[in-house]
Amino acid sequence: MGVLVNSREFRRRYNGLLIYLHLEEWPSDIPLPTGTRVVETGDGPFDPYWRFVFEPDRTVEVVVGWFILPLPLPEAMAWYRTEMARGGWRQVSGKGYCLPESALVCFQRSEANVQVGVDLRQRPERAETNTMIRRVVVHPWQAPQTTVETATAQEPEEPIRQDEEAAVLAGVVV
Amino acid sequence: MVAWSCGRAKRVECSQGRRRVKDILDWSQPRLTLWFAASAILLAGVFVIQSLGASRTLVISAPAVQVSQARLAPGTEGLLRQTAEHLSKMLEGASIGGFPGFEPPDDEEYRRKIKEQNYSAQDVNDWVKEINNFLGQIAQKNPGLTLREILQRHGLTQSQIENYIAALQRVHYAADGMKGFGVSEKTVETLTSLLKTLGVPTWAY
Repeated sequence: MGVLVNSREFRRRYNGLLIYLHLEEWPSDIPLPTGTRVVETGDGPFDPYWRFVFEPDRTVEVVVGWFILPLPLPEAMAWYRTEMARGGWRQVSGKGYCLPESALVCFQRSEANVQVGVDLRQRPERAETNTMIRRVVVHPWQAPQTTVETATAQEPEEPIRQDEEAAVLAGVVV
Repeated sequence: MVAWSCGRAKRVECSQGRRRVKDILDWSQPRLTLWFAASAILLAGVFVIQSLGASRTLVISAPAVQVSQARLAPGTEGLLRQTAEHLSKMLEGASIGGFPGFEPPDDEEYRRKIKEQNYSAQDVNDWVKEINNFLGQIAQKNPGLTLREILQRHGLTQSQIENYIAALQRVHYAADGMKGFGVSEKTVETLTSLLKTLGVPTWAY
């Protein structure tokens, strides 16, 4: 993920942060078929978001998008299987399901901590697929390494607040 | 005299015979009781063995009827249908788990709301609250059963069950993403908790 260039809306969650993305900021390693559009609800577009969840022993980074794909379900599934394999993703066997109206296909990279879930649902009476995609990366937590021990002895370092940590990870200044 | 003696002898015989019968009767009274008691015990034993045999047959055949024929608590079927209908509202009127999809009334705006996913977060909040209400009643009426088992008892096929569960997971996740935009945290938390009670795994992140 690149650094976010424009200001955008973000929300603080009780255990993390949620930052809204523009469609062009969607992770390039998860392809979208040409003509894909963001789902629009009555309140406007359901923009993709980048979410950080802070847990005691790990930080979970999730990118979520809700899209309309211009392909019927079987073709959308085949498209994702092909394109994800091309990008080095391996389909996770034993996870997901495939039904006539809906399917869940899960992929992972050789790095076991990155997973993608593509939830597909055929739109009634249309040759389109409604899909929700989640890209989940787990970062095991490690205590920050500090080199200014003398300074900490005089002025105890304030622990980084959760929202600051997320902002650093997100590359934005709060 | 002879006759008399004979008669007397007969009378003696008779009286002896009567006494013998009486003696026999007197003597056999406890034995008869014992015999009747023994017969009764034997009969009871046979009955018990037959009953056990019958119940064993029932136990053996129980797994076959357990899921498919076990009845659901009254009212559950209607609640499952209503839950599916509300899930369908959020999924463009799609059929959920074999239940008919939600058909909007003859109102152009409402039709657009359903068919074009043109609903607001406030609508989502209201619909999820309804779903919570139905799921709460389903859980209350069928304690100890998972939603999967309940749907199985209702007679849904494996694919239909997966479809129903998947719709719930998708709606839960979408509602979670709308938290703070008209969908209240409490509504989502209640749904999360009900899904946990009913053994429905939610998407972790």
